[in-house]
Amino acid sequence: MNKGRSKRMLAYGSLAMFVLLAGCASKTNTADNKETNANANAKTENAAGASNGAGTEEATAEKVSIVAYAYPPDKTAENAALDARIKRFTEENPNVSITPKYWKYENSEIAIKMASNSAQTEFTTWATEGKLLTDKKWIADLTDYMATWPYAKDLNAFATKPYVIEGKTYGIPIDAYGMTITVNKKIFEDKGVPLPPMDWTMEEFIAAAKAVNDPEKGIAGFIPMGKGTEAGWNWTNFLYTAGGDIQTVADGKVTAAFNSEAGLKALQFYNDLKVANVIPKQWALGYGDALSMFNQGRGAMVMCGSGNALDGAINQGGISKDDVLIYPIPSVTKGGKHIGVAGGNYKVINGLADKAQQKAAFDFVVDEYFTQDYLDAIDQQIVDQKSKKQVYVPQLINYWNDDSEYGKQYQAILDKHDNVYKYSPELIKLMESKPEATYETQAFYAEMANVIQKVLISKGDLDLQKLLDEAAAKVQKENFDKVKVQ
Amino acid sequence: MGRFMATQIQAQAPAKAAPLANASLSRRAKKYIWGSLFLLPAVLIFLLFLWVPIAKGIGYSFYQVDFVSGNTFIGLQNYKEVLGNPDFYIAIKNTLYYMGLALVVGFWVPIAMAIGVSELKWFQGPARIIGYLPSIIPAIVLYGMWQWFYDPIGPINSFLNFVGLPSFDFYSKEHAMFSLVILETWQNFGSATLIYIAGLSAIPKDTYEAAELDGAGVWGRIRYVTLPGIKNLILLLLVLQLISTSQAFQSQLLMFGGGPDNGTLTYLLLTTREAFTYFNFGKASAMGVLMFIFLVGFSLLTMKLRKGGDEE
Repeated sequence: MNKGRSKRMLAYGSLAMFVLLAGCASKTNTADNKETNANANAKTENAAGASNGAGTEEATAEKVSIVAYAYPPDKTAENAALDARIKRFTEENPNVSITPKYWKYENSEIAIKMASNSAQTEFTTWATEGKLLTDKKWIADLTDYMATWPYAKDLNAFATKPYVIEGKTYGIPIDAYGMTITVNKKIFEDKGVPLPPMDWTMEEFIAAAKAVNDPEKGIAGFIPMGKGTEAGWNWTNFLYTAGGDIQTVADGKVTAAFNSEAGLKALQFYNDLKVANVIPKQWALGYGDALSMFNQGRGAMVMCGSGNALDGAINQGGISKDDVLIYPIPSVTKGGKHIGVAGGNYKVINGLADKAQQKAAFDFVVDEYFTQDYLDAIDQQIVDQKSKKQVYVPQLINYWNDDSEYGKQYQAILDKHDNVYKYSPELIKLMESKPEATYETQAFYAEMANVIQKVLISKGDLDLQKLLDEAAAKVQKENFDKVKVQ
Repeated sequence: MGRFMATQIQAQAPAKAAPLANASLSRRAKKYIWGSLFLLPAVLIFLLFLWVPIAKGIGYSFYQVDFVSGNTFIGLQNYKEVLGNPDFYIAIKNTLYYMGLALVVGFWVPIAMAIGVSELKWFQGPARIIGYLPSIIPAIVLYGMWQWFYDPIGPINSFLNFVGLPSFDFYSKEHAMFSLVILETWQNFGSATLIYIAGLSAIPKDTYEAAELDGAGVWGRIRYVTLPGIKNLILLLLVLQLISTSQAFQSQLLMFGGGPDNGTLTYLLLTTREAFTYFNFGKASAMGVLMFIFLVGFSLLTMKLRKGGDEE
């Protein structure tokens, strides 16, 4: 080999190795956050004072870079709206630079994102995650920022509740929902079956499912989620509506409570669905699988957050908005309560960001809350959806109070369009929502998934109380006994 | 004169030995320097992305892992909790069952396919491509497709009903693992087939001619020439299949989520669940270490057995 060439190759090789090692050497930051932290390190000390909300002017003197939560690349309208919002914010706050980045919150990915410090400075998460994220210190305490934000008092208290933990606020609600049953009205009409009453019971639910069930054509009366933690999440609605709880907390101890009489009623309901043969034989349906089946017209009823199944069925499944209805969770007895699990989407601030970044991210998140710009953006979204022949499905619970002036302005916007889904007033009157359990909820859901699967695949009699007691004993020993209540 | 010179040479020897040794070392260094430098990137990549994570994983198994607040040393507590978890034993049983089922149902398929393809007089090229096609289907499409195949009104059950047979419940606890083995075999046999075909092409043609002269038919050629000719390859792929099936979790997670009633909960799926559902990274690391010990022991055992076989 030519010596000169060898040396050149060695030089190139060394350069490549240096680049590779330089890439690996960044212990906690990804490329996306590198700029953020480089800038941040230089100004953290000076800007830290801004965190109390009083030092805004000092903070503006410092350059702050944050990473904002963006949408998937195919959501072009949403990303364009975000870019416009970033532009408006950075024009008012020239010291802040914002990079949009797509990563959708997943509870199976958050630990890795935090370990590698590659989550956005502000991101969207779910109502269920509050306790987990605060316990791990993955999200920042926003109490001080909230104290200086003039609109904090106007937030809907029900929507804010899941992220108010031990008196401190950790998240800002975007929207909230209660679990409901979405009904494909057309399947009922095609079969000539009258729709059940809105104030329905579990018995009426099974009767309706039986009447529209058609296994030969692959149409199930009801599509429950049976795979993964979703299985436990779905079942919890019937536990709640039967008056039960997942756990009780007393004297610093968490005790399993789902093996109660209410729990037995809820599990008996699943067993009755199985015996009536009104659920799909392929029990292994996760969230996406169940909604996809519903969108294909392979199920008459599915359980989901108030507007989510509806949105998918109308805008992706191509089902007419007049052919889908929302019902509350059926009650145990006539006139009884229709309680579903509460959920929603929340904005949280990355706990690993420094104080100046956290403050900038908070300001960015709330910048257009309660503003005309936000209402204009909603108005524009409805217009855009209309041009695509889509329907805007509003959430049932918003971050504002519906009877406030802002709530009325929002309602006026919805009223002026004909492509907005309108919920039945009876539904709003009947449905109630209850937040999920605070401790080890995912572990409970995972354990309940096994119990539910036992029921869904059973071929004979099952001792349901025994199944619940065994699951409760296991979750108690493996999870609840290890919880340290503060 | 001669004695004088000999004495002089002896006297000079120690002085010259050092430069000679240095020269030899330098020659050897020159000989290996380029090779070593070219190896360096691979060694570093292995070190950073394989050996360091293995070492860290072993370390984490003795800690309660918290990436933000810091780790806490808890000794053997993670191991105690892993061994005290009833799901641990269910997962081991399921994994062994899956490994055995994959051997019985799937291991012979690429061997038969490779022999079948190599025996073809025409159509050999397209047959290889057709056999390999399932391997290039993306996982997300694959699982969606098989969910439809296994659907109660999907093509398989529709066909069974059409010929007057009852539907087959691919989702039952008894059949779930079998359903996954069929899916996995269908997707993976193409790659193994190509390896076997490469092995078959290395068998000398004259061996087949000699067998035919001795009156061997197709079965005789396969039994006495082909199979002995690829014996080592079969053993190697057997070991690789056992190792890969012992680490199965993807299809179990995506198709059945480990259910029904933990019926497809494999060891690696339980490990993943500990890490990413419950965030018990210490326990998951302890499970990884136990798996590591088992696989190292298994590899040593097979190496020893193969060595014994070679000596015979």
